[in-house]
Amino acid sequence: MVITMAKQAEDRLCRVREHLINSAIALAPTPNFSELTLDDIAHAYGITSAEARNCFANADELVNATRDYLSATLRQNIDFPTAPDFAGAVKELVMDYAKCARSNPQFFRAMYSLLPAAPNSTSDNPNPVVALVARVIDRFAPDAPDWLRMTRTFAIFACTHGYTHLCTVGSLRHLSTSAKDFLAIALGQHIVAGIHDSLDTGRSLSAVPYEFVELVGPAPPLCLPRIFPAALMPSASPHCSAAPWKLLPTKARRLSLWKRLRHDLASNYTMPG
Amino acid sequence: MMLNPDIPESMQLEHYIDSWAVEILRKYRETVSDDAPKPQRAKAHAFGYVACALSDPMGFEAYIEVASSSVVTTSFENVDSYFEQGQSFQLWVSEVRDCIRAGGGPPSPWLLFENSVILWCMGHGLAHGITKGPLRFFPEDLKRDLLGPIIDMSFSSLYRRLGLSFDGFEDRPVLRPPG
Repeated sequence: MVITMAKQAEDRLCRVREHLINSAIALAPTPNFSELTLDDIAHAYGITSAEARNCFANADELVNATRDYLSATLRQNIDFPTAPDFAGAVKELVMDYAKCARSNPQFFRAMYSLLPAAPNSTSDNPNPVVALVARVIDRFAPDAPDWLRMTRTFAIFACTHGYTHLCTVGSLRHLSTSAKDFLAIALGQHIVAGIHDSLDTGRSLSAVPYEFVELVGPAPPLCLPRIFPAALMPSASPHCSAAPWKLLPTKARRLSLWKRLRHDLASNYTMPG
Repeated sequence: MMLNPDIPESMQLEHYIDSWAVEILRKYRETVSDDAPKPQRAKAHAFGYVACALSDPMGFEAYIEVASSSVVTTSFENVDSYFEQGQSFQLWVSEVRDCIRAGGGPPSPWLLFENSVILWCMGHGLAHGITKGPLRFFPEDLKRDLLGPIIDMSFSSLYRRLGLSFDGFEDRPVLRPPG
């Protein structure tokens, strides 16, 4: 009898822990997520403070557990490529990452919000996808100099991340699965053709302007328009701690953003024709 | 000016954000002369796309999420398009079309579609990655230094895959810029 009750309590604790991690995953892409307390995250999904504190001491501990969970899930779903050549390995990586993200958009949003990459191209990078790309480059070009390795690692990552983001939340989500798969294969070929022999030769084709700084200079010389005034942006609010954005889940945040855009649209915009 | 009651609100919103992006993209295209080689113009355009995200990360995110216009290219010259494309996406397509045409590539609508979308993915990965994605905590100078080589790599791929002539490109060592 005592054993059964202890087992039930343990099961209950596991379930609460799982709910809390799911809450953190759902709330991770919201602005000011880093300012949320453990109670905020727990209350957003109907978990009491006492139950939450039985599982985690504070929000940092919960966020770390969520990061571990996301990393472990990614590692389970994206294997190190087995293809014997560089082109095949890159294609495998692109396909696996895209499939993993497309199967669960909420997971994907949490992943890019909670697993930032470190500015290096080594296999111990805290972002598991960057780490995998770095391992692929290590395997096929172990002697490539640092900067060359870095530009190639983040080029592969940027192409893959852009494709996956557009397929998951952007316009490409409307394409059929077979069209998305076809594009993933083409993207793999594109990356490989772009890298070409640069990892061996250390040289690559460039077009002027060579760098971003040549075009934009220090401190913005081009006066770029903003969609809406900076003062209205949640992150720019001087009263962030009291901002209602803090506790809103993603859907509500989007509605709120929509209302602001609508207000700005009505006051600034004239539809042609 | 109030919203037009005869046009769906979402469409007006999308059009509004699209106009914002187009304004920034045009500013960047204007930094390179009209008679400059096509790879230079295309690269300036890609910088402009990244600048959209840097200028207003939240707005850029909304722009991606509300976009519902077509990305399908039904003809190379875009004369009989069945589906309306957003203006900013049309600019990507026109840059790629100009590169293919100037480099003597095949005027195939499928190749135009595939390469436009792939180059957009590259630009988008950079733009989103450094503003809201996993690369957002990189030092600012590193973000800036990475943009050039990554965009170059992607556009040179377009030229290699389609066998275009390499006018406008230079073969240079890949070195981090000083400073």
